[in-house]
Amino acid sequence: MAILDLARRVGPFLVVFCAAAWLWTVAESFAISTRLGRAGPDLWPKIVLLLMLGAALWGMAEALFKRRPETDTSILIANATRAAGHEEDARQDLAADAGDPADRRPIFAISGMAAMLGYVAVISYLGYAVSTFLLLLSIMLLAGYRRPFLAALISLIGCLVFFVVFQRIVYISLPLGVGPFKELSLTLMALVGVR
Amino acid sequence: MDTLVHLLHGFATVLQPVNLLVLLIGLVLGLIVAVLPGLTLVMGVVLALPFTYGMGVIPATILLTAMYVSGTYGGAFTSILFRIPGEPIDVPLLWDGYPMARAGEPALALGWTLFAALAGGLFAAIAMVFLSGPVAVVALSLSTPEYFAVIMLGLSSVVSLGGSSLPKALISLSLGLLFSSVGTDPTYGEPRFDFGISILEDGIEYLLIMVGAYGLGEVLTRMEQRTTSANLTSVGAIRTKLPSLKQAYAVKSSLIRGSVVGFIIGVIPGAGATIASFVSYGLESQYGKRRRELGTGIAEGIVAPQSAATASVGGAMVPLLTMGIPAFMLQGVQPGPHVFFKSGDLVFAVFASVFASVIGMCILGYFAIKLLVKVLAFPEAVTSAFVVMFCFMGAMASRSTSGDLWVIVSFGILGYLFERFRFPIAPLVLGAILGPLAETSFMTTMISFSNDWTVFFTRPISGAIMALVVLALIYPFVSEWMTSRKRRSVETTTT
Repeated sequence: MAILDLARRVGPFLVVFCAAAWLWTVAESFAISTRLGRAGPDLWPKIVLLLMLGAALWGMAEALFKRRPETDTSILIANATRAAGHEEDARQDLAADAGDPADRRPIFAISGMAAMLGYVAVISYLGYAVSTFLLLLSIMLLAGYRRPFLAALISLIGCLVFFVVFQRIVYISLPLGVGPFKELSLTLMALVGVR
Repeated sequence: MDTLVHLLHGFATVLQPVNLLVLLIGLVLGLIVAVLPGLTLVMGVVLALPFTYGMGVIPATILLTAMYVSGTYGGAFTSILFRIPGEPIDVPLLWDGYPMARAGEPALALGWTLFAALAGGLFAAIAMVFLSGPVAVVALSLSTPEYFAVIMLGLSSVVSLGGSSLPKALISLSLGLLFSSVGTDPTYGEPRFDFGISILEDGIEYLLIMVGAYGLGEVLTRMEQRTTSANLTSVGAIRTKLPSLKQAYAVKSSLIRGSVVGFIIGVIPGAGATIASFVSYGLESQYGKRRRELGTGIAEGIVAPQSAATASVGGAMVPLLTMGIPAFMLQGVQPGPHVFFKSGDLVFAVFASVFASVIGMCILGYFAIKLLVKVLAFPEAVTSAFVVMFCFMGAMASRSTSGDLWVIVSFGILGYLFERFRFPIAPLVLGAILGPLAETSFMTTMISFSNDWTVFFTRPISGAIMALVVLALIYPFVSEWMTSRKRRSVETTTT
């Protein structure tokens, strides 16, 4: 359990450290087309990567050796609430806004990610209207909306509204899809007066 | 005198029917965003950005300004009446506003927020008009080392923005800076970090980072928490009762302190209304005349945070106009001190829109709040679904490439992971916005001064600003050391 807790605290910093170290090797390979001794295109990214490496090391050291509980509020806010004698109130009120960690169910967030990635993957095949309808519906249901028929109706209205906004107000061309989905998109476009 | 004439021209622009309509839409949207717990103010403004593509620069700026101004005020209602802070800005209002409402004075508590928002907002708007010009004149006399130092000062605000973990704030900032360096190098034209992926060759737009991390990231976090909508029982009883002149005069010190603090904090890039609201309440508890009664439902506890929150908007306009404002860049107007001289009409239209927004927000808050608070009953699942679509709309509107959709989802997932592992998102966005400016001024300085990095410290103005940067960076350590010393001495006394 202690090892798991340690891995949870150190893990993110270790990942950042390894990523920064790898990106440093990538920066080493940038084509340098400048005179010798002159600052090249790799200089700025390397400075940023140094900052990242240092911060990751610092974070790892803190996670290993420091026992102070971490808060989400900024230092200025923490100082102000402490001065006002409302440190605990602020912690509770801000935490209430963020939700109880015990009630968290990551599966819904992961499903949400899958829905978003799926949307981007299928939009060129299903077209904007159909894929938007499916995304709206799936996000509503995954976010806990318990009335599927009403959710479907809202999704339908929503996707039509977005379709009209894109076609008639902001004038952006949308993916039409392929086969029957393309036919559907073209029909919708004709309905909103776009040729 | 010139300033006043220009300001009158600005008002004439804002009062044109189309601009007035845009202002009204912005005010309503800002109030709704502030009232809805699932939407943050920054997220609301970010989601509105893509809609400004099709607008002219003036209506676009009016829309965003109005949204931001009214967003600092709308959440006061839900905080005071239902103990639901729509925004973190409104948390300090719970501590005196809610007790005042519970003591049978909800209308007066709402009246105090209205009074504080109006007074704080107008104070900051006046200060903004008279300070932005001189700041721009000073900024014009600066060279690249000074510009870099100013940007560093902006970046150093991560120390106060991030949570209690400075390493996490620095990692977030450096990631933002790194993302801004993806694509073609601005100095030599060399490709960097594109890994042969065509989407990355043109770089990553900061808009995608902002919309993805704030918008999609927040939705994913909310899906994990599966929060429900609020149960409203007393919407019918909402009304606002303004304080009398005598009552208002009695809280003048709190009002002035809150407005000044809010304006100053607003000037710090990225700090914003939340920090202003908390710090002002903190100061009130230390220096206020009735500091011992704070938390029991007194007017000072409402006036201090609300005036600071609204005043921070005026303060924020100073660096936004002199250093850069996203809406300006989206409209092809080069931000910076030159904007005051090349696009003076535009600047004064922005100033006038702040005045008009503050006044409009109060009128709307007074008459239409009963209707607006009803959006609280809107299911959060539906809000989340539409936020996702607005985010995708932003990505599609930006460059009309499907590659941007992959980018925005990636940043949504990154935003969620940031929330999950408690990394602050604000420094990431700050780094992505200020990164290109920082790199250009840094590289130009290095080339102009033959790689002599000491120039940042040896030139008088840049040296002084860099000293401030160092101060900002060491502040948390000094503060923590002093707090722990104080705590130890209290513990020793009690034992």
